[in-house]
Amino acid sequence: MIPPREIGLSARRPDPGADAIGDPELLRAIAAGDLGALGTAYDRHGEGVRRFLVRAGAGSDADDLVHETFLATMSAARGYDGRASARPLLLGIAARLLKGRRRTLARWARAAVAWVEVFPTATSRTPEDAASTTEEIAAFDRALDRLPEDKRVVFLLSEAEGLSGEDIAAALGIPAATVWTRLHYARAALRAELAKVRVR
Amino acid sequence: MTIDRCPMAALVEARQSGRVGDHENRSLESHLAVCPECADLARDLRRLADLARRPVAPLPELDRRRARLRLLREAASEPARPRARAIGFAVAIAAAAAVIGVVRLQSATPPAPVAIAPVAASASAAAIAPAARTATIVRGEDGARFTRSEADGTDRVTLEAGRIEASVRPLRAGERFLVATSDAEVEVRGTVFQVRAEDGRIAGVSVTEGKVEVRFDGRAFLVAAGDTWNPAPRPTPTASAAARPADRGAASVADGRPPPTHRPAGSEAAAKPAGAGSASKDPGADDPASIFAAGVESLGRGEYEAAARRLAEFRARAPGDPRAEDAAFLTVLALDRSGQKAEAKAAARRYLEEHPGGHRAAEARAIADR
Repeated sequence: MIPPREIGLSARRPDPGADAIGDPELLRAIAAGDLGALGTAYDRHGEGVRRFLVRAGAGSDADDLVHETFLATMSAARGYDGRASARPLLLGIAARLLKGRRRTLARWARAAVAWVEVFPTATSRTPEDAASTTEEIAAFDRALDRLPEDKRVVFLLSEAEGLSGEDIAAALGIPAATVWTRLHYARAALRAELAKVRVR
Repeated sequence: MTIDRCPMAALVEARQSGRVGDHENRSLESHLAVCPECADLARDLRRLADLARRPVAPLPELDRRRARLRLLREAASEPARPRARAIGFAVAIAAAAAVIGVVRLQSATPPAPVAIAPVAASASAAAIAPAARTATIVRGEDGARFTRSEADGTDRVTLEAGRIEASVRPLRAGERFLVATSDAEVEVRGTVFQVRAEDGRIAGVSVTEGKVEVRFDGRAFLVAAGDTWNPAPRPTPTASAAARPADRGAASVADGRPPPTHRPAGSEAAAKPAGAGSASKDPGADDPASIFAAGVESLGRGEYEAAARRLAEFRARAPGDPRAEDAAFLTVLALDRSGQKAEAKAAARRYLEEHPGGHRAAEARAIADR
């Protein structure tokens, strides 16, 4: 049977006090082994982590990687630097897990297939999409997929997730200057692909 | 790759990343008006950001809840982390304490708390004990009346009425956390659980995460995440009043009262007599709790019409049950999935009328407004 909690039964209602707890306090509780805090962190950031992973090309692995990200957070939380939002920490963990998982050719192949499934350009049109050509979106998706992993991750953390350069540097463990360099090259490569579409 | 020849191009990129001040921004605006190359770059960078931010379909709520449960279950069983070791140690302590607890119930020697900290809680005002700062949190709901005390490493909540939710941090060696009513004790084996009481007597336990042990009527019941436990119905006030912890023990099992109901989320019941390995007797299949569980099982198996029937029967037989709201919403789902769209809409409207601030109001409204 599906356990009652899994179909939204009485065991878990939104905790009115949970939103009042800041991320630093939440991560301290997670570091101390509080599973309730882990659940609250998942409720708060799980969808954002998943969204980043899907955009970064995790495809069908996205949900597993979200799971691994939050499990890894239990140990990573002990070294949390206390900044107001846990998003850089979580996205950094997710990015590293994604990189590790992509090391096998099979994973790459699955991700490539899933990428097409996740962004079926003919069927998942949004108002933003409607304002541009399908060709442009497809070109962007292809170009993003072809970007080297490190540049793609920096580009998405900056442009899609809105993290600051400092947060990205902390999340990925790289110098801030490297963030700007990677971002510049990612933008240039993507822009060049869009330019090709416009010329046709 | 596009090569930007204008020396201001770097500033355009910096602005896109939020790295320019007001003065530079104003200067750049003037430049963009006269430099087509930089204007194109600014436009392209905005477009790239828009493309990167295209919405991603969120995980369906059902899948999200499953993923959450899977995460917490795995986190609770992770053997390699210090946190997990702490919980395992707490379980070992609790196991030993269970024996002690049963002996204490049978010998009618209530513990003498060193310090009682009265805590009055209402449904709206959460009462968080001082220990919340170290992550053990007790919240009162439904006008809960309870006191909390700590003595000899035992953090004890005495519940008189209403419902509390306890979120318990990992316990160290020698520490215990338990909730007591006049007739039962619930000892922590995990992290998050709820206890209800009426007239000082236990009325139900449900576990959100981890495990707890309920000691009642001389027996112990292990209640795991997703499970609920309810005491047996009390036939008469006289019989109920006579049942003091000291009077019970082995004899209470044979006093003619039906056994407590324990509804595990999984397929195996975890209830067992304290100190013995045999399973407890299954509750009758026609009591409301069984009907509710059968309805949920039917829903899980995709037998939607049967699920709708059983859940409706549960609501009719136990309208005041805390699960009535869940049953009402699940009836909506069952009807909807069985193709009975009109009935589902009507059920959704009923749900909204009966539970206007319900947990699933938004989803019910979506179905009712179709």
